[in-house]
Amino acid sequence: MHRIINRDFLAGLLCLVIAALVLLQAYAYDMGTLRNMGPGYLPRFLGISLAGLGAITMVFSAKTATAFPVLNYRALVCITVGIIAFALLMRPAGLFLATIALVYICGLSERRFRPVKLGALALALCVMSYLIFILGLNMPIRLFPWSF
Amino acid sequence: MEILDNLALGVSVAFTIENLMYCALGVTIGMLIGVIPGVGHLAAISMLLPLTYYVPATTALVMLAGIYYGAQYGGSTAAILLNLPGTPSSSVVCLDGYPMTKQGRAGVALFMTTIASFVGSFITVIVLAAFAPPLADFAIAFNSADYFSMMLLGLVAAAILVQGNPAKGLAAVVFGLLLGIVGTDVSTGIQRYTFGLTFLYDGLNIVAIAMGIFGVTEVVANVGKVVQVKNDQKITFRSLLPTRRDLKESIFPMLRGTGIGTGIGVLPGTGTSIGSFIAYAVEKKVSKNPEKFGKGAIEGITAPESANNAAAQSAFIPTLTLGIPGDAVMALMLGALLIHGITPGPNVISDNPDLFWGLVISFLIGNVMLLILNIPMVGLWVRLLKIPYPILYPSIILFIVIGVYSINYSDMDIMLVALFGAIGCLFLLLGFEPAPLLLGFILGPMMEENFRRAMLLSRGDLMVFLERPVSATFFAMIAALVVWSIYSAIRKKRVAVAKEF
Amino acid sequence: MKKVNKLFVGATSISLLLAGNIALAQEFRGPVRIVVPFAPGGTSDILARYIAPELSDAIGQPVIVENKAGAGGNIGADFVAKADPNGHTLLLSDLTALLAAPSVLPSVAYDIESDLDPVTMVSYSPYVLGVSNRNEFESFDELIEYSRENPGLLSVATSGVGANNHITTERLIQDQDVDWTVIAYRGGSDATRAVVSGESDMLLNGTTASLPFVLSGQMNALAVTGEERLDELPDVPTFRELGLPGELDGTYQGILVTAGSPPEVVERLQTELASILSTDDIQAKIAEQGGQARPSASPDELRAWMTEQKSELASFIESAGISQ
Repeated sequence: MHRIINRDFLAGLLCLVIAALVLLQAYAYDMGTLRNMGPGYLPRFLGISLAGLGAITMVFSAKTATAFPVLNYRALVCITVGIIAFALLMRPAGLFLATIALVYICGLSERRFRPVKLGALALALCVMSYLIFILGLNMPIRLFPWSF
Repeated sequence: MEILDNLALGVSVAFTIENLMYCALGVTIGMLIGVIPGVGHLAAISMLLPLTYYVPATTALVMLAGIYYGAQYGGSTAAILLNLPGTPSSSVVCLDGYPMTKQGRAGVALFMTTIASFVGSFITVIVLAAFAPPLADFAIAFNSADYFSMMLLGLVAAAILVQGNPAKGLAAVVFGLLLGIVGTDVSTGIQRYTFGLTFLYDGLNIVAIAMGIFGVTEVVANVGKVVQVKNDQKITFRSLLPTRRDLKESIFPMLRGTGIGTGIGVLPGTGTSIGSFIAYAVEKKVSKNPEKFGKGAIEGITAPESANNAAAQSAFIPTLTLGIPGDAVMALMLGALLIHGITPGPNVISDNPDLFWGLVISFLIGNVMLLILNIPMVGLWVRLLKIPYPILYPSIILFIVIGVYSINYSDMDIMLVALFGAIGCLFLLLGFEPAPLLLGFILGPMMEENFRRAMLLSRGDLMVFLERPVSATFFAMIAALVVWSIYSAIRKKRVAVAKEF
Repeated sequence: MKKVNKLFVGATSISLLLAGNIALAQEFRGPVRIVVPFAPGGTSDILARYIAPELSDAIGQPVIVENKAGAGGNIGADFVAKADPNGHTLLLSDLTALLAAPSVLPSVAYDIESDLDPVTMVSYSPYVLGVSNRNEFESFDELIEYSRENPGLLSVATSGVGANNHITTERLIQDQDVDWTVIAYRGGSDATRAVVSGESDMLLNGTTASLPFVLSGQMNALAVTGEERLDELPDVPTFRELGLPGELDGTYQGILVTAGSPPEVVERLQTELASILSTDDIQAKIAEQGGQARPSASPDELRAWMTEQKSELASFIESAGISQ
C-alpha cells in the first residue's frame, strides 16, 4: 500500500473537498444572529466542523489507516445503471418493461450472462410485483405502456 | 373501578367478529409490508385508506393501526437477513442482526426480535391504557428547547454508535446533518442546496437514502462472491431457538428499550427511529462488553426492536388524546377519523370511549396475533437465505426500487437510490459508517428548527436550555455520557498500557 | 308565435341534451385521476376522497385519488401541468397556496395560469384566530392593545413560511400595525401543538384544526374570517365586524386540469362536480370538516377569481417581504 495516500488520507481529503463545496454555497445564505439565526448559520458551522474532522483524519492517517476492502466495480456500475434505467422507464413504459431492463442490466454484473434464466426471473418477478403492488396494494402503477 | 369498566367496554368492542377480522387483516398486511424493503407503512396505509370508508370508524382504525404496528414487526426481517433496513428505524437492527446471520444465527435473531417487538408493544399498550392522559400532558408541555436537548442526546448517541475511528464516525454524522439541510428551510422558507430542482424542495427522501446506502451497497459487496452467506447451514427447529443465555441477556435490554421507546414515541414528530438509535447507544454504554456490539450482540437487536415497537404504540397517545398527529401515519389515522365524522381533538376519548378502548384492546389482540404469526414464519424467512444469490439480488434491487417509488411515485427518488448506492460504496471503500449518517440526517433538521425557534422565543438567551427542567435533565444526561465516555477511554488506555509492560 | 317559439326551444334543448348524452358517453375513456398535491389525511385529500366515488358514478369510469405531496403542493401541480392534456388528470388543491407559490418560491416549474385550466371551486374554509389559554385575552381589541403596549413580546405560530396562514397573519400584522414574532412550524399540527402548550401565543388556522381546542377551552377564539359567524362559535365576531379588511380570508379548495384539455371534457367535469357539490350528503361532509361547498358557476368564473387573487397575492407578498 502507498505510504501517504492511504485509506484514511483519502477519507480526510473527501471531507475537506465536501466541506469546501458546502462552505462555498453556504456564503450565499444569510448567517443571521444567535437570536435570529439565518439559513446560513448551520451550513457554515457544519462545513467548518467537517473540515476540522477531515484534517484530523488526514493528520493521523499514517497511524490509523487500514487496508482498502475489495469492491466489485463491475457490479457497482451494472446495478447503478440498472436502477437508473428502471427510473427512466417506469413512468413512460410501465412496470413490465422496466423490470425486464433492471433484471437484465443487473444480471450483467455476473461474469456469465444467462439470458434465459434472467428472462424467467424477470417474468416471475413481474408477476409477483403485479400481484403485490398493483393487485394487492392497489397502487397506481402502470403495468404496460398502454395501461391507463 | 373506572379502568375496569373501560377495559370491559374495550373488550366488548374489540371482540366482535368484524373487528377481530380486520385486526388480523391489518397486522398481516403490516407484517408483510414491513418485510418488503422500502415499502413503508405510510404508502400502504394511504393505499388502503379508501377501503375503510365502508366500515365503522373503530374498525377502520383497528385495521390501519394494525398495519402500522404490524410493519414494525416485519421491518427487522430484511435487516437481519439481508442487511436491508425496511424502515429507517430498522437500520439499527442491521448493525448486530446481520452479523448474527453471518454467524448462522439468523433464526435466533428473528426469533428474539419477534419477542422483543412483542414485549415492547405489549408493555406500552398497557401504559397507554393506564396513563394516556398524564403522558399526553407531559408530551404537550415539551417545548422547542426540550426537543433540542433531546435531539442533542440522540446526536451524542450517534457518536457512541461509531465503531472505529472517532473522527471519521463524527464526519459521517456531519455528512448526515448536511444532507438534512437540503430542501426548504422551515424557519425562513429559503431553499438550501436545492440548485433550483423542485423535487429537492422538501429535502431528500430518507427511505431512498437508507435503501441506497445500506441495501444497494450490500448487494454490490456480495455479488460475485462465490461463498454465500452461510447458505450451507442446516435449518433445524433447534437452530432457530434462542439459548437460555440469549434470553437472559435480552430481558433488561428489552425493558430499557421499551422505556426509551415509550418516552420518545409519545413526543409528536419524533417517529420510531430516534428511540431505537438511543436504545442501541444506551445498551452499548451499559454493557460490560461494549466491544461485542457490531459483531452480533443480542442486546444490539432486542433493545432497539423493543424501542421502535414501543414508540409505534405510544405514538397513538398524542394522536388520540390530543388530536395532534406525531407523524404522517398518525395524520392519516386522523384523516380516517375525519372521514367517519369524528373530529380529532382533546375530546375524542370522552366523546367516543368505545373507539379508544376498543382500539387499545385491539392492540393487545393484534400483538398476540403477530406473535403467533411471526414465530412459525421465522423458519420460512431463514430459508430465504437458501435462494442462490444470482436470483436473490435482482429481486432485492427490484423490491427496493418499487418500494421507494411507491412512497411518492417519483422517479427522482429511484435516481436517489442509485446515487446513494454509489455513495455507500464510496463510504465502504473509505471506511465511513452509514448508521451515524442516517441518524444525523434524521436529527439534523429537527435540531436546527427547534434550536432556532428556542432562540427566537428566548431572544437569544442560551440559558433557556438549562432553565427548563426537562431540557436541563437531558443536558445532565449528555454531560454524564460524555464524562463516562472520556473516563472509560482513559481507563482502557491505562489497561492497555499496563498490559504492554 | 310564442307557442312555436317555446316548442322550438323545447325541441332544441331536448336534442341538445341527447347530443350531449351521446357525447358524454365518449368523453371519458379510461380511469380519471385526482392528484392531491398534499399528504393523505389533509383537507384536500379528504375532499378528493369524498368526491372520487361520486364522480366515478357520474362519469362511469373509475376515479383514482393519487397523493403527490411536496414543495407546498407544487410538485403535484407540476405533475398535472405536464400530464397528457386529455382531461383525465385532475388536480384538487388548496388554490391560495398554488397562487402564492410564484411569489414565495424562487422557482416554480409551471405557470398556474397557462399550464392549468380551471374546472371548479370546491369549498371554502374560514380561519379562526386562536389564542393560547395562558394569555387571558377576552377580545381581539384586548389582544391588539396589549400587543401595542408590549411590542415583540407576543409570538404567532404559522404552518410554514409562505403558507396560507402565514400570509394571512402578515396581513393582520400589517393592517393592525403590531409587532409580533412570527414563528414558522413544520405544518399546522405542529403549530397547533405549540399554541396549546403555550410556546407560541396564537395562530390563525382552519376550523377543523382549531375548533376542538377552542371547544375544550385550551384555546380562546377571538375572531373568524369570512362573512358570517360560525354556527359553532356564535359569540366570536368576524374580522369584518371588527372593521378589518376582507382580504383576511380563509382557504379555498378547487379542481384544475391540464391546460389544453378538450373543452367538452372540462365542461362535463364542471357540470358533474357542480351537481355533486350541491348534494346534501357532500355538503354535510364538507361542513363536518369546517368548510362550505362552493362550486363555481363556470370554469371562467374560477379563472377570473384566480387571476385576481394571484395578482393581489403577489403585490401583498412583495410589500410584506415574505418573498425571497
